[in-house]
Amino acid sequence: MAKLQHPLTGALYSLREDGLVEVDNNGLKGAFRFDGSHVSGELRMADPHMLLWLGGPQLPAEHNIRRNRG
Amino acid sequence: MSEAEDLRSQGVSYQELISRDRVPPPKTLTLENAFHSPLASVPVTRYTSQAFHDLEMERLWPKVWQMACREEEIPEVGDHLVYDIGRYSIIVVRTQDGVKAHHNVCRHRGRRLCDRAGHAASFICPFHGFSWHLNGSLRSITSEWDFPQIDRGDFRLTPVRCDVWGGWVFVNMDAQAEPLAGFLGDLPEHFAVWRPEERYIEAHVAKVMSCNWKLCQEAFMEALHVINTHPQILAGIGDENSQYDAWGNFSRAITPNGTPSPHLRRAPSEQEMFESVMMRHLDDPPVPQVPPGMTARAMMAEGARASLQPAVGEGVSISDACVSDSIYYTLFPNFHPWGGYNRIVYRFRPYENRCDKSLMECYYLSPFAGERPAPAPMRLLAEDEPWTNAPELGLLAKVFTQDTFNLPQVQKGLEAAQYDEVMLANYQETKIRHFHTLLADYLG
Repeated sequence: MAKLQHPLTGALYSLREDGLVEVDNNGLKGAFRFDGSHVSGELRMADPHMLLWLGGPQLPAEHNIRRNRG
Repeated sequence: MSEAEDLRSQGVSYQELISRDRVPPPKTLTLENAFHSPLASVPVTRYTSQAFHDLEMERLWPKVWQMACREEEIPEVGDHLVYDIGRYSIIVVRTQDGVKAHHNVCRHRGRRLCDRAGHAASFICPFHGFSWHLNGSLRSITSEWDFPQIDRGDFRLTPVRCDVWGGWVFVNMDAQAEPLAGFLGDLPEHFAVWRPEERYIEAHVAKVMSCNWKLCQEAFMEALHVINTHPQILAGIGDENSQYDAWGNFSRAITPNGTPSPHLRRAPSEQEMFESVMMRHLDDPPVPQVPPGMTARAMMAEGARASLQPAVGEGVSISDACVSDSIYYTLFPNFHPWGGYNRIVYRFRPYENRCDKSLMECYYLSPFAGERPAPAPMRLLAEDEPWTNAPELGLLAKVFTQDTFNLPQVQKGLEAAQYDEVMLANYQETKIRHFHTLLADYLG
C-alpha cells in the first residue's frame, strides 16, 4: 500500500488496506480517515493534505502517471 | 521603493538557477519585472458580497476581453458554442468571414437563441422562429407583416467584439474597448516560442466550485500555499524561490522544479528531488537513478526533452526551464495559460451568476505531430464530484483534490469573518495584488 514520508516532519504516512492512513511520527502512531478525523492511536493529529493524498479519492492505476502540478 | 519590497526568500534565485541550465531559456524567462503597489490587503466583501459580484457584472465582464473558446472547437462554418459569463451569454460562431460573436439573445422576445454548442446554417429562435444568419444579419421574421416597426437592416443580433490570439478566441462586449492586441501587450511575445496555436485540446475538465471565482483562481496564482497544501512535493520544488512579475494586463509566476524547498530543514539528495518530482511513493517501483555528477533538474529536462522533441519538431531548442518549471501566466481577469511546454491552461468564472459559486476549468493543450487531433470534449464535474472522476488529468486531479479541500472552507471562513480585510504577501502574492489593482481600475 502507498507510503510517503512527510518532507517537513519526517513522519511516515501509510495507507492501510481498510482505507485508513496510519501515521508514525517518531514511534508515536495513529490511524486517520482521509478527511483528517482521528480513529485510533496515541497520535491524534496528522497533516490533512498528506492524509488526503494517500487515502482520498484515487485515480485508476493506468492514469497515475502525469506529473503536472497546479 | 522600501526595503521590505525587495525582500526575497533564502536560497537560490530563479535567475541563478536557470543560468546553470544546460540548454538556456528563451529571453522572456530571463526578464524580471517586480510589481510595486501600495495594495497590501483587499476587502473580504470582494469574495462574499453579492452586491460586489453585481458590480463586477456591471463594470468588469461587459468591458473586458475574455477567452471564450479555442478556434479548434469550431472548425467548420456553422460550428458554434455558447460562452456564458454570469447573466451574459455569447454565441461564438465560425462564419465564411472568420470567427464572429453575438449576444445569445433573440431580438424579438429575448429567448436565448442557442442552448448549447452545435452546428447550424442559421440561428433560429426556438420560441417564435425568428432567424439570423451566422454573421448576425437578419434572415427571417415570422409573420413579418405584423412587425411594421422593424427595420430589417437594423435588426441584427447584438454584436460582440471578437479576435484571436494563439488559437484562443477572445470576446469583448464593449464596442469601445481597445483592440485585443493592445490589451494583450507583450504577452504574445512571451508565448511566441511555445506556439500555443499549434496545440490541441487533449483534455478539458470543468468543475463547479463552492467558492467565489476570484478566491478559486487566486489559489493557483502563488506558490505560498505549497508548503501546507501540497507537502508531498516539497523535496523537489523551489516554492519559496518562485519569481513573480507583472506587465500591463498580465502577470507571471515561475516556480522552479528539481530544486528543494527552502522550507526543508535538511538538503535532500538529487535522487530524493527527482523522486519527489516524479511523485513517487516509497513503495512504488524504483525510478531511474540520477547519475553521479548530474542534477535531478538536468535529468528531468533530458527525459522531458526526449519525449517532447518529436511533437514540437527536431529543429526546436527545448530549454531545461521550459520543460521543468511551472511558468504560470495570468491575463486579467481570469485566463491562466501556462508557459513552457507545460500543457495547463486554467479559466475561472462565476457560476450561475452567484458570488459564492464558480466554474474552474482546466485544459491540457498538447503539441502534436502530423494531422491535428480532434479536441477533447469538456467533462463537467458537479460540485460534489471528486476531480479523480476526470482521470484524463492524471495526478493533477489529486493535486486539485488538495486545493479543493481548502477552497469551500475559505469561502465559509470569509463569510463568517469578523474582520474586514484579507492580507496579501508583498512578493509571493504579487499576482493577486496585480489582479486586484486592475480590478479596482475597472470597478472604479
